[in-house]
Amino acid sequence: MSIVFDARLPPTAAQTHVLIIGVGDYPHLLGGSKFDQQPAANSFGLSQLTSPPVSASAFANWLPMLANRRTPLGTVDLLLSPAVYTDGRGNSFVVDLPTMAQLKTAFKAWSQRSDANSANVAIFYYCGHGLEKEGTTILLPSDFGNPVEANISANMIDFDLTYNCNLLEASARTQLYLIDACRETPTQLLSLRTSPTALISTMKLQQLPRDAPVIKSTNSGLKAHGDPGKISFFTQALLECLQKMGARGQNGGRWEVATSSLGQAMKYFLQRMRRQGVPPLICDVGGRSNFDTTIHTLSGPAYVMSSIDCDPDSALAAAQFVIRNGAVSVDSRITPQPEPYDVDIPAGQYDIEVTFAVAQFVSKVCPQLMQPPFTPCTLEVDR
Amino acid sequence: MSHIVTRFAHYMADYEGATVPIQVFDSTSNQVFARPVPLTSTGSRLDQEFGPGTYLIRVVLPSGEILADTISVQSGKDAEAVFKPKRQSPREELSWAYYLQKTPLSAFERASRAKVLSVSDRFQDQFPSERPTITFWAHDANGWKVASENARNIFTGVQYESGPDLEKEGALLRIGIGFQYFGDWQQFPAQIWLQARTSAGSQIAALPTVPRLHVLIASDDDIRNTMPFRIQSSNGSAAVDALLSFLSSGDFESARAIGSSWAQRAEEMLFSKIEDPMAATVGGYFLLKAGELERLHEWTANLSNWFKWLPDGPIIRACHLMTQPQPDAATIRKLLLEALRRGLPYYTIGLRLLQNGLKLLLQRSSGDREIAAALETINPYLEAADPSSGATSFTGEAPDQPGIRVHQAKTLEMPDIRLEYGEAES
Repeated sequence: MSIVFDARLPPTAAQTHVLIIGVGDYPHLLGGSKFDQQPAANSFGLSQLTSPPVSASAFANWLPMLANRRTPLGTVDLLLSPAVYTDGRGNSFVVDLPTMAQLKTAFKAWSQRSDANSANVAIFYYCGHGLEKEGTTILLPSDFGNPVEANISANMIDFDLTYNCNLLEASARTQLYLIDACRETPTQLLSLRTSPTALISTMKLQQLPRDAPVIKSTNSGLKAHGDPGKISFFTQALLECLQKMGARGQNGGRWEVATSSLGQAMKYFLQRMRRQGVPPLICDVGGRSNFDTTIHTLSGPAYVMSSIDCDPDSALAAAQFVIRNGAVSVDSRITPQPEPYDVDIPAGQYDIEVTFAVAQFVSKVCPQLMQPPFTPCTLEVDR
Repeated sequence: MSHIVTRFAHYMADYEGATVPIQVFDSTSNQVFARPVPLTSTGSRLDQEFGPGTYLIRVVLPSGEILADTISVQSGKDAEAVFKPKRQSPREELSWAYYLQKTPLSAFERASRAKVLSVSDRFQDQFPSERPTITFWAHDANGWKVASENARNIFTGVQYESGPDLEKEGALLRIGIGFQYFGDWQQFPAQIWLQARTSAGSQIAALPTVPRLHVLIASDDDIRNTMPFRIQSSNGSAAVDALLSFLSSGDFESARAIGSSWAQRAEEMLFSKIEDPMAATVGGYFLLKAGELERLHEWTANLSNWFKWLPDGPIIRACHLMTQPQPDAATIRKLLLEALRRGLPYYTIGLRLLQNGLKLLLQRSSGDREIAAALETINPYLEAADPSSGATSFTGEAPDQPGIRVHQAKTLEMPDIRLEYGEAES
């Protein structure tokens, strides 16, 4: 275990326990430190990654800002490869490597911490190589492909079985799983006859109500994306939605992020992220959720993702937009474009002024309320 | 005080009145209304009064599209919020496919996306010229066999329609199917599946057993698939279509918004007689995935025992028993194996729950050969299945020969950025 945050709350007090895994260095894959002496017999075309440790560390560094009065942040356990963690203050620490053995130990410990109180919130985050076979999401620890292990599947994680077992083992009613990994099926994987391994097992069978969504960074059969050495797109979406975009509503004047609103907000956020040469980004929400849970309260305003366009469509290509809050201009798009005007704006009431460079359409001002996470706005325009 | 009337901009024929979650917010961003409301082209009056002011009315369609309208309410005068989706169904009778389920990509959007992504020629040009040939399959106690459209113990009729006005909106073929109902669905002879085949291959989908069913074979914007089309089928009611779509997309909050009141009514109906086993099935999945587990009652036993052609019944029953104190593993095991004996689950949710249940049992008892064999049978279907489809749908040459969704697109090797299709634009 490498606990990088510990609020030292009583173990049975309701709190949030987080397990973060970032796997970038795979020694037995191409480019790895042990590839020359101990190459993986079958690498499925995978090699080193640079984004996961950065992404995982970014999430770990944000977590002390998690604000949840009912279940404050209790612990953060972090495993990285390379096994060096730099915290928000620039201090570096050695943490545990996410080998299969270490992951089993860490997962079991995190599950047991979460089990101490059914009001606990348990958050699991993984960023690294992933695959999919027969509908099962497979995560790869850092020692994946170690030829010393005769059974290649012994170092492949069956995430779905792990998830289902932990819903039974850990009494924490709210369990959030964040998987930032590809979900492709290499053809060589289809010929694998052994099954991946769960991180935890159980003899329990009774299913209790759970809020346990699984948010994945891509759909079945697809890749996840990120710039080399930088926070992945999925983790960027996670952090932005936790900090600003993912609110569900207000409680006592403060905006709250819930498991339901987080997943939906991340979907819209990723859809709106456009990167040259990268396919449309997507986010898959699954799992089980018998109720909703507030996991974080924003310290400031909630932001709204909005997409502003015109009806008829032909007016959009000639439209100029100015968004005002009273007399103050908060955003604008003066150069007409054929695509909708995407804007991120604090929740509230605005006036949207649309003017046209051509005389074909009539300019107007439309009052508009903006509510998180996503409020589309179509301005009906007269000719 | 005044009322707000919500109106959908398009007439939805048989699906007028589909219930969707609607939220109303006031100018201080407080939510002042959140209830399921019928979506109609004639207008639905919200059963609450609102004071003068500015309000945001927001609706989530089961297709995933969010619609919103900001309106001003004046004292003593009803105000209207109009919802106009970007995608319009080419036909009123296809509204279920465009508003209540994931929508097929329109030709315009396909062209736009192709321009941005440099999608390979295969996906630009192959669709949508070839009309698929259709085969019906039946599964009963004797296994799989081809079912004739003229089999009067199964079908009351099958009608086909294709043409340019459908194609321009991405639809290859529309099929209207009537299933024979003898007053009691328990008497229905078999589970019925539809196979659509083109020169590119074959796709097979479950057909929900309802009196009248619509099937749309449409372009598939999910370019992972080897198939250039997807099979969408209605479920006989707007409520079931909507609930299934929300569950399939992981929008649990919207599912709860419309499912809870529906489940309460269903609870009262299901105890003595299950008139609509498909609706009961989707209701069971809703309660398991997003609803209140306490609402699962003994009707799950009826669903399992009364409809021998319904694999989903034993799955729901098994999952229900797992919510009870000290569930009996032997009974759960028996139910899951019975589910597989009956065929394949109608719904993708059921397919996943079946796999999950078998894996849980196997990890408890690794020497259980029957469970291991059941997993060997079900796993290839999970591999071949379209996970985004509400009804179970998979590629394969025949129902007992599931295929493989192998991704064929070109990739450009770049560290941490691996592009799905074609070259990066520079």
